[in-house]
Amino acid sequence: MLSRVAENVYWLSRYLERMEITARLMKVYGRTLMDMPHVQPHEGWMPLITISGLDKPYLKHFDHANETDVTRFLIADERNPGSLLNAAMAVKTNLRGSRDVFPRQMYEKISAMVQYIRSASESGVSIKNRNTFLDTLEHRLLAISGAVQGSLRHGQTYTFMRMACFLERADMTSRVLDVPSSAAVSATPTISPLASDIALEHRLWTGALNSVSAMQMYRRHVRQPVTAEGCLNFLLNDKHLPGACRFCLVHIDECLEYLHHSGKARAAVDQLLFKFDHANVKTLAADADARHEFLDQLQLGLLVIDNTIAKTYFPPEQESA
Amino acid sequence: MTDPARQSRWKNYTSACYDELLDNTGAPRPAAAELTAWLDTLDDQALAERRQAAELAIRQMGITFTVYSDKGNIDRAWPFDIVPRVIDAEEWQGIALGLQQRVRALNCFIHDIYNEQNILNDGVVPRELIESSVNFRPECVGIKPPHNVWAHICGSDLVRDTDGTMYVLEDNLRVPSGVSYMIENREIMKRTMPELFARCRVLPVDNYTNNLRRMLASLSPVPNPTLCVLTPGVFNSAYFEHSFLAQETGAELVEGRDLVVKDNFLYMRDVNGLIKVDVLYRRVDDNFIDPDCFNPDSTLGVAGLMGAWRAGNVAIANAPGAGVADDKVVYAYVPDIIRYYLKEEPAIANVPTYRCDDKENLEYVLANLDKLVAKPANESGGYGMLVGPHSTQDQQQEMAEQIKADPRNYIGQPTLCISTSPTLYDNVTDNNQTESTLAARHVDLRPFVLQGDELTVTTGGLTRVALEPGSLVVNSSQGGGSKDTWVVESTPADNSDRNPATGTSQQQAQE
Repeated sequence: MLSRVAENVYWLSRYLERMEITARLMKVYGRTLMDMPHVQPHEGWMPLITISGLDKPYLKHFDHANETDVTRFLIADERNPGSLLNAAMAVKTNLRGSRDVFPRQMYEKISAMVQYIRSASESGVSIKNRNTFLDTLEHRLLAISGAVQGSLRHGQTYTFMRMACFLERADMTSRVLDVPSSAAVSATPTISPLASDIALEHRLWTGALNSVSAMQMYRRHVRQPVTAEGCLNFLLNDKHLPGACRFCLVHIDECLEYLHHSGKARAAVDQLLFKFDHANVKTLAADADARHEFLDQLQLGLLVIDNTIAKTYFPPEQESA
Repeated sequence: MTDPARQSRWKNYTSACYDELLDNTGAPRPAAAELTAWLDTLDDQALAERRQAAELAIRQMGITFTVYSDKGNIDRAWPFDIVPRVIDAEEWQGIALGLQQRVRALNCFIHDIYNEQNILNDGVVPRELIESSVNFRPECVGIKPPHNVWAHICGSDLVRDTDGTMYVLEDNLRVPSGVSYMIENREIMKRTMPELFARCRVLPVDNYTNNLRRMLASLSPVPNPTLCVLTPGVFNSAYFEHSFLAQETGAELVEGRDLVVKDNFLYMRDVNGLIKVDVLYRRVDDNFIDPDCFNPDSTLGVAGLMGAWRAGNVAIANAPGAGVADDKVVYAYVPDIIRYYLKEEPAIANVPTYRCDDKENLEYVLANLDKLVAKPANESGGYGMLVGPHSTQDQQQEMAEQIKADPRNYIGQPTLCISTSPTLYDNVTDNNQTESTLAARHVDLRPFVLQGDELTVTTGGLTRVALEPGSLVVNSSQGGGSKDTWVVESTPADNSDRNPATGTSQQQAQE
């Protein structure tokens, strides 16, 4: 597989995964907020921006975070590099350069999805039809994953796609886990005596589980009420949950094992896994600062892996146009 | 059954030229009879619906053709007309043989030009003509490519004149495009008019990509060679085609920056390191394939490629230098070239051509610019040409100046009344209603010939259609459209178990 095409495929896959996560987050978050009547409507949606790592571009244009502005920003705002629309355009650009390596039906599914977002953003997504839009988008993205799984040869192209997808997912999970410790949430005033801190915390961790569609799995396999420790342990360390960071890392390593010249990248994965082995989840659950510090390290580690993969397999930077 | 109250849609259909589907009495030609009858069962609305379905299919399949003037939009949908053009299989057989003859002779010619030059020494083709050709590459002299073949992929443009004779209008031996659209046009038809294929015996077109792969592989001594398609990149007008052909032949689609030459071998930059390339199907013009050898500013090719090719370590299709036979002045000599090498009479005629390097011809062309088609010798895509009867005096004046400045590089040809084929178009009526009707539009045909260890021809080819009323310019880069081309066995199929098709909204058409 050509280095240039590998890079296209890698970013195509990262953007697809990012879209799937963003769409799901918006759905989940909207629902969680409906159960938090005391959150100020003009700032309640800020965590969604934070999870997506978009604080800077968002605050440049807005000084509040209400539903309409945040969701528009996340769906169709051209000023937001991470909006669904822009992610879709990035998918399209990368697809153009790698079209020949994909089965046709996959190509058709992806371009139809891009077309769908384009026309939806042109006609505008309102609060009323937002869920229908997000549902349809999710179906289309799942159909693409299905085509990747079922019709693409599980060779190099597939391996690069998977690797990219796991990196994106691990990154998002780490951000989701950071929310309960983020400033926006801790600043949320608890006006009503009925809404105790404990209830709020429970709600936030439940939201985190829902964000990576892991709530049901948590119930079935952890069999404990939702607590910070239980949730952290599940989303960081579970070996079989697709959204769990360890799961992602182990699978990235598997992908790298399949490729040649992967020594450096695998060492970077190992280093990160080592941090996991030595993390004290109990402390992380209790101490928001320690948690934030750990998740920061995790995100940096993922960045190192990403850079190493790019250095090893993609065309040198000065050459890529 | 067809509604007897409705008039046949062919009743008002007329063409000033030879029509591909109907004869001059308005009756369908035998091979097109099933098609025209079926079209008659559809009313205007049903036709419009089929067209919408076709447009949707084109968007879904991502069939694009970029037009350079169309800056913002690099994914312009492929312009397609849903009414196929039909060729009788028996006639097609003759044309196919004629095309094979022509390409075989052209390859003998190119090989001779770069080696012994017998045809020049014998004075059949003037030496100055070749030596002054911008497409003659001195770098290629003395090379003997595999099978002595230089032009492996040839797209010749055919047109039909009033009396029904097919002429070769030009031979494209450099990087002819269109074949992917030929194959995809059939796919679109299958998706949007599936029931038609049961009625008409349409021969398939999809064997081309297999033939292409076989031909490309035959250029390398390696048993299972690595093939690459070299594209200028995603902004090229034919990028869709490059990607399509790579996919269909199992080749890698590469850009110049993916390639590197080391010790006279060509490699591509793979994630596992460098991989040797055995055959390069290049869709980049000669001039840009090697900055060390040709245009030094080119980033579309790879430095050292010509050296690797000369050393015989990589095959290039079409071979560099093949364009020497693609010159429109050389075109005038093709009948003589066929007689010289093959000792046969040409099976398909040339359009009479006035070469402006000849004094008498030049005077004739200049005096008749309002009647002739004048063309530069080395342009493609319909650029730089003048269609006399459709031009203004200023345009003729401008062309006259250009010809006088460089007579060697211009030819004149009579303006043929090239054949038409029924084409769907939107007619705006007096009371501002839009109706979809069939009208005669000029068409040409571009079949593709492959030559490696053997010769093959596509079944039919790409039919291009000038969508504007009366226009003769069919080039996709200049707003032309395309049609599916059916080679049909006209022996009537057994229809006993089939009911005549009915239009989807026939009732609405009753008056």
